Amino acid sequence: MRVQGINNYYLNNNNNKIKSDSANTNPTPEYSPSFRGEGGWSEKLSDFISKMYAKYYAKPMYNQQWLYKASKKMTRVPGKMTAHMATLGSFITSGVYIDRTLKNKDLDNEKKKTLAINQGLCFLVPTACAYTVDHLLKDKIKEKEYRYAGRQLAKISKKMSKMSDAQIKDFNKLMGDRLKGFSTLATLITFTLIYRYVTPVLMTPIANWCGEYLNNRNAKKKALAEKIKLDTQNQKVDESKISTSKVA
Amino acid sequence: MKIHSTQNLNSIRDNITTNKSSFGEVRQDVTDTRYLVRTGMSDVYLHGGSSFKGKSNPKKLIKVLMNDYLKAADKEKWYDKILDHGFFNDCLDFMKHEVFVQSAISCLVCMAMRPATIMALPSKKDKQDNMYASAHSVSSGLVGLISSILIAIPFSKGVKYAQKNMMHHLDTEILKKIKPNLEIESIWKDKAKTIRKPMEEWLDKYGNPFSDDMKNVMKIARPKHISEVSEETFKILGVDVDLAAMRGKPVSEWVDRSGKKIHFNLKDMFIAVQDEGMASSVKGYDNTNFFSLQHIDKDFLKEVMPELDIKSIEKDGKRLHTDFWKDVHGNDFKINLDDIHLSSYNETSNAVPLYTGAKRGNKYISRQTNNGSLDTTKVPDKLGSPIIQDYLDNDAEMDIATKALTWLPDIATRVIVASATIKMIPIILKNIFHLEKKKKSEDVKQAEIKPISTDDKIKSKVASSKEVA
Repeated sequence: MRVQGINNYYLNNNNNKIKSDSANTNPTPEYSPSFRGEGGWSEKLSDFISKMYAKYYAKPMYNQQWLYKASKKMTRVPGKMTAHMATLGSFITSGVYIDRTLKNKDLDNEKKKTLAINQGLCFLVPTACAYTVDHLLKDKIKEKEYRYAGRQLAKISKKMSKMSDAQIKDFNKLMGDRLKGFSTLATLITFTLIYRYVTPVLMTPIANWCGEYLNNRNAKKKALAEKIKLDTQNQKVDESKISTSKVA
Repeated sequence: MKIHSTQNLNSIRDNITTNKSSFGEVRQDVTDTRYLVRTGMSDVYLHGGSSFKGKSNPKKLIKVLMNDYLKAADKEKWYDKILDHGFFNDCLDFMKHEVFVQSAISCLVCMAMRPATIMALPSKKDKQDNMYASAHSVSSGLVGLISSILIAIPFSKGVKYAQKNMMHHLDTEILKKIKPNLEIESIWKDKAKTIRKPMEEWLDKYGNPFSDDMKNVMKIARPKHISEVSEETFKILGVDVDLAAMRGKPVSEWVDRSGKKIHFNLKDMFIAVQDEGMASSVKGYDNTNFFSLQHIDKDFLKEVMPELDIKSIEKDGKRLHTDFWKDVHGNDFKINLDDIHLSSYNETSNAVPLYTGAKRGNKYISRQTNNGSLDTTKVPDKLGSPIIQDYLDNDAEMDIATKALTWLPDIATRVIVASATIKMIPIILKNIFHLEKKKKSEDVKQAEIKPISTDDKIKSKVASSKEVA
C-alpha cells in the first residue's frame, strides 16, 4: 500500500531508513507494498470486495436524497455520531440479553425481573458515564490532536526538501486522513473501555450487590410473613385447645 | 503570571525569567508593580499587553508571550511516545473501518484486560469460576471481532471506495447539495458532452483546488517570542544574527552579522492578541491567539492597532511589508520587534490553527489546506479557503451520512450477532477451553440431601442469581 509505505519510510524514527534517504540522490520511494506484493491475491480480493460493495451498496445509497435529509435532521442531535452509534449497538445487545433473561424458563419470575433490571442498569449507568467522560475529555483530546499533528510536521519538516511532490502530497493526504480519525478513535476507546471493561469489572458486582440486597430483603420479608402466619396459626391452635379444655 | 517586571519590557534575553533569584529582585518587582498600578500602566507592562480598555476595545496586543507553562509544553510528555508509535499511526489508518476498530478494542479488552483483572481478583468460591468468566470474556471478544470482519469491513471498504472513486460521478444536483464549496462549472471538461474533469482539477468557490476536507485545517508551529528563538531558527527564517553579541539589547536594536537591522518576511511575523470571548490556542493565556501580519484580517488589525492607517498596509491588493505602513497622521508606523513572535517547527512540536481574526459567530474562521502549496510545515504564503459555517454544517451532514452507512450493517445485524454469540459461547468454551458450566440440577440434588433453613434459602437464592449474572 503506497500511503502506508510513505508512513513507514518517512515518519518512523528508524535511523537506517533516514540514512538511506539522505544517501539516495534520487529519492525513489521505498514503499512497502502489500503483504503479498502489489497485485497479489489478497489485494485483488480486497479490490473486488470494495468495488462490489461500493457499486451495490454505497453508491446507490449516496444517491438517495433521504439520506441527506435524515443526516440534516441528525445534525441537530448533540454529541458525536460515533458515540451515538456505539450506544445504539450496545442498547440492542443489552436488549437481546434482557429479552433472553425474561424468556428464560429456568428462572422464576422474581429472579427474572431482578436480572433484567440488573442488565438494564448495566446499560444505562455506563452509557451516562461514557458520554460524561467523552465530553470531559473533549478539549484534552483536541489538544493532543494538535500535538500529534505538530510532532508529525516537526519530524517531516527537515526531510521536506528531499521529498518529491508526489510524496509530499501523499504525506499531506495521510495526515488529513489520520487527523480526521483522531477524536473518533478517542471516543471509541472511551465507550468501549466503559462498556466492555468498566461495566463487567465494576458495574456488575455493584448491580449484583443491589440484586443481592433486594433478594435478601424480599426473602426476609417472606420469612417474616411466614413466621407471623405460623405464629397466628399456632396461637389459634393454642386458643382452640384452651377453649376445648375449658369446655371439658 | 505573564510578564513579571519592567526589566522584561525590552525583552532582554538574559533578563526574561519567571524565577526570582533573590529577595532584592522580588522587592524590586513589588515596587515596580505598585508604581505601575498607581500610574495606571499595570495592564500594559505587568500583563504584557497594550490595553485599549476604556476605549471599548476588547482586543489586546500581548507583547511577550512566555511563561513556565509554554516551556513545559515544549518538553517531552509521557504520551508523546504513544503518539509517535507506529501502532498508533496504524490505528488511525484503520479509522475508516470504525466498526472494526471498535471490535478490535473490544477484543483487546476482552482477551487481555478483563481476564487479567478477573484472574487477579480474589474468588470466594474456587478458581474454576474465575477461569470460566475469563474464558467467557475471551470467547465473546473473539466472536465480536470475527463478526465485524465478516460484516462491517466489506461495507466500510465499499463506502470508502465510493467516496474515493465514485463521488465525481454523482448527479450535479446532489454534488451541489453535498459539496457547497464546489464551483460546479469547474467540473466540466466538455459540458455539452457531459464529460467531466478528474476531481483533482476541480476548483472551489474561492478559486482554490477543490477539497472537501474541513477537519485538517491550516496549522502553524506555535509561535515563540522573538527573544526565545534560537540562532538556527533565525537562519531558517533568513536572518543571520549573532545572538551572543545581541545579549542585553532590545530586539528592535538587533542587527545581523553584516550590521543591518534584522528583517523578516511579513508572513513570519506574528503578533499575539487577546480577544475577549475567544477560545485560546495557548493554554495559560486566556483568549489569546497568534496572527501573521501577512494574513491578519484588516478590520481585526485596525482594532488591535488603532493608530495604524489601515489603507496604507496594501497596494494594488497586495499586503505591504511593515516598513511601508503609515500611522493615521501619515508618519511611518513602526512595528516594535519586541512584540513579534516567530513560528517554526524547529522550535516546538506544538501546532496551533492559523487564524486571520475573521469570525463565524463567536469563533475564528479556520482555513482549508488547499492553497496549492505542498509544504505544510512552513507559514504559508497564501491562505487556503475559509471554512465558513455553511461548509461546516454540510461537512457534519456528510460525516453523519458516511458514518450511518458504515454503521448501518453492524446495527442491522446486531440482534442476530448477539443471539449467535449467546449460542456460540458455550460451544467455544466446551470445545476450545474444555470448560462447562455446572448444571443447576446437580446443585439442586445436593441441596435436596439436607433440609434447608430460611437463612440458607436466602443464601442459595443469592448464589444462584450471581451465577446467572
